[in-house]
Amino acid sequence: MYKFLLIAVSAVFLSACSEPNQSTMTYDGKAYSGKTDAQPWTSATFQGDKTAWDRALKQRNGNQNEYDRTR
Amino acid sequence: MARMKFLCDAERCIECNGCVTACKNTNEVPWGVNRRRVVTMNQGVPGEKSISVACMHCSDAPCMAVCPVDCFYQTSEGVVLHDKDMCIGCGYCFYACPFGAPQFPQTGAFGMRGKMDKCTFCAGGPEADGSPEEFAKYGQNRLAEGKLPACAEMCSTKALLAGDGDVISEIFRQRVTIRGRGAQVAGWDSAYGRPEKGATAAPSNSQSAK
Repeated sequence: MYKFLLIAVSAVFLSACSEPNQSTMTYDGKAYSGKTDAQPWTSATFQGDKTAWDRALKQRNGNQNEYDRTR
Repeated sequence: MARMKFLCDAERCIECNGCVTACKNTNEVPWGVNRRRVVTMNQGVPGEKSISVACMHCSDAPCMAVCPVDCFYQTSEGVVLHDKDMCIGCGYCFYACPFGAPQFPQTGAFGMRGKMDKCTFCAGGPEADGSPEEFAKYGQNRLAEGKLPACAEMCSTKALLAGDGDVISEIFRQRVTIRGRGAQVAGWDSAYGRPEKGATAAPSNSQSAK
């Protein structure tokens, strides 16, 4: 009985340590009330090929590092 | 892919405003609106430093939190965008933003405040990708074309980096290691330490910093 009470009291106190989401928006935009935006890889250029889009972006990302071109 | 971020290297920025011009030209930004600007600290003093500032596409964006009509959303790449058809131009996001990113074009003869305009990471908006409507409201959707934002790709000294946060921080870390300065800033270890796994500075033939 004493053990159960201790656990219950601990749970009540520990609930204050939780971190509720302070943002009004969720990551996937659930609270957003506007038009739906398409994913960038569904554009006419990539036609749904996410792998190709990822590859193109990765290439552009890497091109910003001029040490790869000079060393 | 990690979240899309901007990173400006103050050691390299020469205040040429090429990023500002590229942004204005690419997106045909209206007169009086500056989606990106270059800020110089200690102007005129030897050792002055400049950085290019725009929307930082915050992970927990305050503009999204305060918007009374919930017109903001975040893409799966972490880009913060908004629907101009819903925006009421109240300016609350401008108060909330620590970077002064939201801009308000002057409309009408009496200077009425228009709908909010800001950096889109060249990712357009919630109109059909590449459509004239999207271009008119938000500018070019370079991300859907497999390109990075024009400001970063036009930067002549490569001070402004844009893209996958892990990759650009790895590029910056490599730079600082090679040039031997710039790591004195607060939070260096937590922000630019090596990622636990994954990211490299380049997809192929990359060389690790010595």
